[in-house]
Amino acid sequence: MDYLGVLEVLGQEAFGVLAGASTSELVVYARNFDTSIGDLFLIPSDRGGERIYLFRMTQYANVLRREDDMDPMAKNLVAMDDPFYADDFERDKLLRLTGTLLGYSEYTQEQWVFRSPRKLPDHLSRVFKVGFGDEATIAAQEAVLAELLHAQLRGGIRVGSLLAGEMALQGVQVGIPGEYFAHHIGVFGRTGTGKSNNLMVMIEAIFQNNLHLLHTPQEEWERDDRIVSLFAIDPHDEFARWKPETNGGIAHIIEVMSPQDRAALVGDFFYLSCRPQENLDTDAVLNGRGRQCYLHRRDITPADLISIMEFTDIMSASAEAISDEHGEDWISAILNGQVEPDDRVIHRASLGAINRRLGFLAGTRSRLVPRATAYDSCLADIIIALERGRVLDVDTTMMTEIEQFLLTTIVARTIFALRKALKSSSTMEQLLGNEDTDGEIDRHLPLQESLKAQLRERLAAPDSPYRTGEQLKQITELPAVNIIVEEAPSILNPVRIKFGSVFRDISRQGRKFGIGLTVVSQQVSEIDNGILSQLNTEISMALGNEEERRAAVQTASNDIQPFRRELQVMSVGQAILSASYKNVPLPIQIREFF
Amino acid sequence: MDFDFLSRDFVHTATDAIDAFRQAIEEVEPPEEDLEALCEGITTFQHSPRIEEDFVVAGVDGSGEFPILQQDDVFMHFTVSAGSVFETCTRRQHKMTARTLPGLMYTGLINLSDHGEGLIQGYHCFLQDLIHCGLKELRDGSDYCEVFSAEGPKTIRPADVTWENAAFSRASQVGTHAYLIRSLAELGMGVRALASQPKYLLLDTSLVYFLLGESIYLPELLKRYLICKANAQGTGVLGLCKSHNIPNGDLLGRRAKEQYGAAHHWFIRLPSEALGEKRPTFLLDREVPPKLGVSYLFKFHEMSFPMRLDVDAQWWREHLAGDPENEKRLFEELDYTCHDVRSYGYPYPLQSAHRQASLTRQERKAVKDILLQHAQREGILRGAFMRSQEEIHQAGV
Repeated sequence: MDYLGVLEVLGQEAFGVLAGASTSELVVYARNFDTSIGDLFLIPSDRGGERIYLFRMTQYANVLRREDDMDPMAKNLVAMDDPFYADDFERDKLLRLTGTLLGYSEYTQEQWVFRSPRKLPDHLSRVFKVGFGDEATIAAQEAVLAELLHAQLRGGIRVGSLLAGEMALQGVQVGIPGEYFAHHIGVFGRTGTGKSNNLMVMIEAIFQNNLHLLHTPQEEWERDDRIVSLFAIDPHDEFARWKPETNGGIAHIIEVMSPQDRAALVGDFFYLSCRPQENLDTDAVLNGRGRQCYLHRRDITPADLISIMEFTDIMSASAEAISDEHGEDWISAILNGQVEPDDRVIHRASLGAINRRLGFLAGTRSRLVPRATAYDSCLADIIIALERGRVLDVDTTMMTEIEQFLLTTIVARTIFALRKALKSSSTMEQLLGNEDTDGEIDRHLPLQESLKAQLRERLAAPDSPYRTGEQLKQITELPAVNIIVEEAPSILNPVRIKFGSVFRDISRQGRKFGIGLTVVSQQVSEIDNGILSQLNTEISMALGNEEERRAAVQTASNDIQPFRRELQVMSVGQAILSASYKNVPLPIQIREFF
Repeated sequence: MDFDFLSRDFVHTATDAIDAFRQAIEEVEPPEEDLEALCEGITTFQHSPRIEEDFVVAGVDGSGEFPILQQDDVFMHFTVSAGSVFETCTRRQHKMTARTLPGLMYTGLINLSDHGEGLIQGYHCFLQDLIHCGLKELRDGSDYCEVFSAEGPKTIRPADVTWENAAFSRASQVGTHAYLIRSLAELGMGVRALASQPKYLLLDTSLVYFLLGESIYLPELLKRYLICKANAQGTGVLGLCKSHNIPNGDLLGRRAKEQYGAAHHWFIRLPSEALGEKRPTFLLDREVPPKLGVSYLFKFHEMSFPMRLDVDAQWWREHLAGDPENEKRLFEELDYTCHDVRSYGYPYPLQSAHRQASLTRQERKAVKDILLQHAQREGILRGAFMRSQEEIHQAGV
């Protein structure tokens, strides 16, 4: 649709007229129709090129055409004896809208290109409100908007509809490209804003993205298309079933797939829980796709613990020294009293402190890391599943908070290390090593010998996710692995993100290796600035206080300052999507998952 | 003005002028017995935030630029008149709601010249455009000939009502034509507003007939046409005069307050010759009450001045005579329309019509500019003489 085609769709009935335009603010006078903050307007203007400007209203006021000031009238209505205001001034009732220019689409070389707001529409341009008119008109407006903003909206993972005021434009879907799940995403919002629903919608969209790509020849994929794996921490155990009155969550999504698609996208399991396996096997909803989630002490390295709990430098050094001496059994050595303190690195006090930190693993206290002599862990299954492009729903209701953090950390660190090892290797042998030579896997995954033994077997197998025939895959051929970090401030705060935290490295280098974090938090300000600066996509929902809103504005990849007030009043499911790869922040309505 | 306001001579002159002014006022001070007789007729009524029965009320007003264009002895006048029709709605928050009807805004350009039939032709076209009527229709649709003959020294037959017999001043006497055109525009709009079947039609003018019985005067002919048409459908034409033209009328107000405790919401009906009553001596040489009319002096709110209301005597006989309650209801209903905050104490339908008809300076200029552009395109303007010296100074030639 060209410029004149757009004008035809918009029609003759303008909503208002541009009164003032500056680079910081637009002023529009409009007719007295129902409107709301956040409404979107299209302003055609052909000064300098055929452009459609996109204006978002952030404030409006009732004004009268003739009277400059309604104050005296209002005062008189209060003060005089039985006064009234005759209803005869419909034509004089106007709205004064102010807001910002989000940008403009220019028709060049037979396509619309959206650009940042460096230009202004012409004087007294007519202004058209998106979502104003009958159903057919609105549908046509949505089609126009979708075309004008195509490059900004595109993305395989559809997270919501563009929000114009209070109206979700169903015909204008906003997506995040799969590639950007290998970067880092922030999901911010106070309690009750719909963060869980947002994640559920995102999970379904990831399934749809993966399914679409599965059935699309790779040469037809769009730029930034990528299969996405998700390690979804589920603190309320809701993603699998979702709410009782709904069709169901992931279990339902999977159930309606064809057996072939299910085999390709889900495999043996999608649900991880600390519940006993027999319990999971008899859960009708899971239909045999639940897997007991447990790790072994040998999966844990000092870096994992340093990343999630308070460790002084001396304690860290002691832990490292103990793991050097006892290898992957370093935790058992400490808990079993097999470590002797010395005066050099392993001070008695430090050892005692480490012992106390490890208390949650002692005896039968931990469901996640049960006491077991022989190596038995589902970590390798998790890693391989993620490398195959799976969505894993991790029920953490039966884990303590520290166990939840520990699991997230170990999975993130392990897959990060494996990807680094893969990138350093050109052959499978170089990656895995042989009887005589260590492989890159040994260099990047110190300790964890038991895990590596399992991984070597799985990665060398003919159906290895790292193998295309005899060739090792490139990182870019592997799925984008995204790991959800729930209650992010607990492990991504400035104190914890110090030298030695696995998340510090992942946040900085993860995208090179196709690993991204989804940082979920009620507070932005409590998260380490280094982590925040690495976010490429932010989904900002209503936030609780001024400090958080300020932090969200500072963190956003686009300028969302004009949305700042709305961060206070947005309804459930409404959010501002900002991304470094989009020219404009987009208000979205995340649909209620049903 | 280059003038010394503080000069002793000027101060003395001002003092003398004020003395003369005071004497002129005191000369026509009503005699005590007249005042007393009038004030005995004071009727008070309640402040009226509610009315018993909703009704339709219309108001008309006009304005214009007279002339807006001039070349030699040819004058083009621009007139605007507007009608506002409201329906009261006692139970709603806004109390009166506007009725949107076609034809309640009129704009006309009237060309008048002293050459040949230029003047008559101008008015003929104007009347046709305004109300689609000629003199014949106005004459036949009114009691003009009858009342003309009854009120004045002259008598006329219907056949005498012709353009040639109508009183017109020369086109170059623009002040007279300004009044004439504006009056016709307002009365014509009143005729249009009757289509909404209002209970009351409010005019921002008196119902006087200065030339009735003496000369055929177009505004008076149209006024009778309007009133007869209104009477026929039961509409009361109410002429409201902010300036009551009653000598020392404020004395009546003061007396009403001091002796009768009526500070506001009162009315007095002035004795009317049209009802066979004797006109008070201090009003003998005035058109108050006007011929064929009944006048009231009234006050709605403490903060407002007394105003005058003229109604047609025939309508008065049919609707108010012998029924004090109806008379009171008229003022209560009128009071009800005066509570809009934009014109508190004054009927809002009139204020609304005024707002619609009034021209701002910019609007006058815009109309003028449009006409000038066309005139220049037609080559009928010579030079920049249509612009004021100040404009030429500001904008250049």
